[in-house]
Amino acid sequence: MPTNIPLLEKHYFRNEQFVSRQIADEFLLIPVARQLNGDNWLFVLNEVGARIWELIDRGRSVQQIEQLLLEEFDTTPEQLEEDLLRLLDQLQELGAIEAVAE
Amino acid sequence: MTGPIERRGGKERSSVMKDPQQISDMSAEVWGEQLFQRFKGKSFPLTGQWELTCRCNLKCVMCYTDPFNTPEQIRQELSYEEIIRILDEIHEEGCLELTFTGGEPFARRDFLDIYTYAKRKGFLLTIFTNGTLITPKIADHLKTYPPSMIEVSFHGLTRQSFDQITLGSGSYESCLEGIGLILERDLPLTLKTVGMTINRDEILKIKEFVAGLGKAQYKFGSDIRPRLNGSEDVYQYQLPHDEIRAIEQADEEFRAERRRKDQCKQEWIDQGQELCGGGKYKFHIDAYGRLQLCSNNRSRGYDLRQGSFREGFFQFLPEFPCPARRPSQGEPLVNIGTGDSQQKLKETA
Repeated sequence: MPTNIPLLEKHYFRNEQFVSRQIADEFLLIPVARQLNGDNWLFVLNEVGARIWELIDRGRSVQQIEQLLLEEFDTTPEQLEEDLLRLLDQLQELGAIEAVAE
Repeated sequence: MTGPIERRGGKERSSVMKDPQQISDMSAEVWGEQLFQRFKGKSFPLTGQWELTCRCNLKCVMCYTDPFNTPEQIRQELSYEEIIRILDEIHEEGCLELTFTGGEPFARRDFLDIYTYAKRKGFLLTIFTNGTLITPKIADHLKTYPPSMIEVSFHGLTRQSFDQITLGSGSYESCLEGIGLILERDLPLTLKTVGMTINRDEILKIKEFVAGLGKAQYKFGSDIRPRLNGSEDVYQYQLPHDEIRAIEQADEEFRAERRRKDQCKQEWIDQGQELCGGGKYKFHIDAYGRLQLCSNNRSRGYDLRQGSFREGFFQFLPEFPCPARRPSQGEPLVNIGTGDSQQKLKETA
């Protein structure tokens, strides 16, 4: 992972080994090629998390994603940035997204 | 989000926003239970079993699909293209868990293609198999795209008793090889035995054998069903009820499982709940594309070759008769649907 790129300028792409599904009113991330905990394991994203997942992988930087979310949700830039970066960390840790090498 | 974030212009916070976590991980089982608590009885096709074929390399003496393991019947089974089309429809309606069974699913040459397509769509998949057709190449593929569970039928502990049940020479060794390939790759495995007159003395020994495998789970059942052609000759292998109970009572885990099942059933009865999820959150599809309440109730079917899964599940399945429903809802229905929809109904054998 490159370390010389400012965080907000980074781009991410979604790992194809994770499939997203909207079932009922829930947004799920399902690992296709991994066994997690030896069980039928899945990940549930809340509304904001689901929107972030949608916005990743469209060539947008973290900063651009943040700007779009600020237009769509009532929150402060500080709160949003903190939560956005936390989710990106979590998704990266899961292997669901990867940073674009630049 | 951790903060009180709402969509701009939204008057009410979305229900998912009540959960401050952006991402939570859980088992599909827990997620499904939570979903149904929120749905409060509304039908939703969460889980299904799909009998992809009746073809099989074995001819187990108690097998209910075996009479349809003929070239003529096999020619009538769903094609790959039809299966993919139906899979897409099931996916669209929100089904999460699917079990592929047979016959023997690996006896279909295109099974791995079907399986992989379903995996990549985001289904959680279980495979019911006799294990004898699993090769290193297949096992490697399953390692790449792991199922939630592989359930292998294992009805005897010796070559003699095993082959006596499967009527397939060498099936015992082939099955053990398949089991070995699964275990070597650390894939989730359950071995299961149907208790019959032929293997009554081996059941507890099979359970011990499975425990010795280390990572495999074990299921014991006693459900023998009439064959799909209506023949009831299979009942000659049925164990008497008291013998089944005696086997269960002889093992601590079996006893606990029996208590759990009986308690669960009683709770459902006390709460006035239906004893079967068929048509409520479960469904079954046979090898010819007929949508049914469950594999054990094929009295009515909706032809998915002619109609949509959505129409079949939501408009027809709830009206199909089922003895496990509450009496007030279990009365056989005579007139179901009208016009074109009525014609899509097809009585099964």
